[in-house]
Amino acid sequence: MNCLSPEKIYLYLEKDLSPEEEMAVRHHLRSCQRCRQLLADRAQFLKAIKNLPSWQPPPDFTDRVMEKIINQGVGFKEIIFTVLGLVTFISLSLVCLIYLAGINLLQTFSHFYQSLMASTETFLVFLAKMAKIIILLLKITFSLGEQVFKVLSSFLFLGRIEYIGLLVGCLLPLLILGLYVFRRKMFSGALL
Amino acid sequence: MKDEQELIHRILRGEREAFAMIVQKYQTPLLNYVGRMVTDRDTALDLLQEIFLKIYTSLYQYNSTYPFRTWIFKIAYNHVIDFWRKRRIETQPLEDDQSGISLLNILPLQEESITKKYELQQWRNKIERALEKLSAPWRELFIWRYLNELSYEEIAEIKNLPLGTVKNRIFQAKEKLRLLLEEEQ
Repeated sequence: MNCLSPEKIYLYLEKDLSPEEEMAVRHHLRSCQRCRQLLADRAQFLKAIKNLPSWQPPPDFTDRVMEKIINQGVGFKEIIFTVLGLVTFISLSLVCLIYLAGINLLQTFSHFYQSLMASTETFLVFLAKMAKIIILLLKITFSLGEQVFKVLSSFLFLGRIEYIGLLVGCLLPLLILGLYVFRRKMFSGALL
Repeated sequence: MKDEQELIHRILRGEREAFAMIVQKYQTPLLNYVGRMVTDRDTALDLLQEIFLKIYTSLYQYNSTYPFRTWIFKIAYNHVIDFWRKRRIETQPLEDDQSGISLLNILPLQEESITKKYELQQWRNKIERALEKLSAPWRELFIWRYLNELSYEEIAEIKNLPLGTVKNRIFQAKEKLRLLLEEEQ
């Protein structure tokens, strides 16, 4: 057997050799002074490195970390993303709902708006105007959606149910993503 | 291991205080890793706080089939890399750093002069100094194996490398450290 490589010496010292290889190394060591020297040297080196002093954190380190965790504030980015996520989700859900319920839902909204207008004062008028804007936006989205569906229908001969399926299929990943982000924010304490 | 999983479940159920036990268990091994990678104690403690916050906010992503210790070290490893990137500290890629390998061949000739000098106490400071000089990718492997006592398999998992490559690199890291120790003489 040739002289042992430093790598083999380490493997032997760290008991990382197969029983056969270990036997061969032992056999060689009996007859080779140079390798015995190498072995003693590496053994000392390993012993020295395993006894390196450990760095210790300050005694109040855990408290400091826990304080930061418990007092975790709400980040600006988190608020923006959460609000945007929720607004997108609610808007898309409403569009979907209007599409499913048809024009009757829009009429219900309009009646609600009219009765609100009739029975409220300045503050509620403002709210009602906001509601009108939202309804207008929804109407635009709805009619745009209808136009897109019509165009698509002329190409693909799909019925209303298939389109609803397509719409839900598109919304589902968004919903999952929204819930995923929401869960993360909830857990990290950003929303609590 | 089972207790740790139970602890994680408690934290995920909203018992934030239970995280203190995780911090207590891992603060010393992580400080030994992070501290020796950045060499400055205050910076290391700041980084360590950030690492624990990251662990806490990512805990819901933890897959319980994966060893928790490896997962924690992986987060710490990524955080240290980010720290270096932000500070624009360059780390040599291991593949290109072959300087020590050719010198390994002459090592056995120097054995006799070294042997007598291994007095444990005296060597500690020398090893610490040599460790600081060891380039970061080698130092990291060395610390994980000999200070944090991670297994080769755990290190392979953290670094995303084959087991054989990890074993070989850790061997090289040891020999490089030995060379640096010789230079300290």
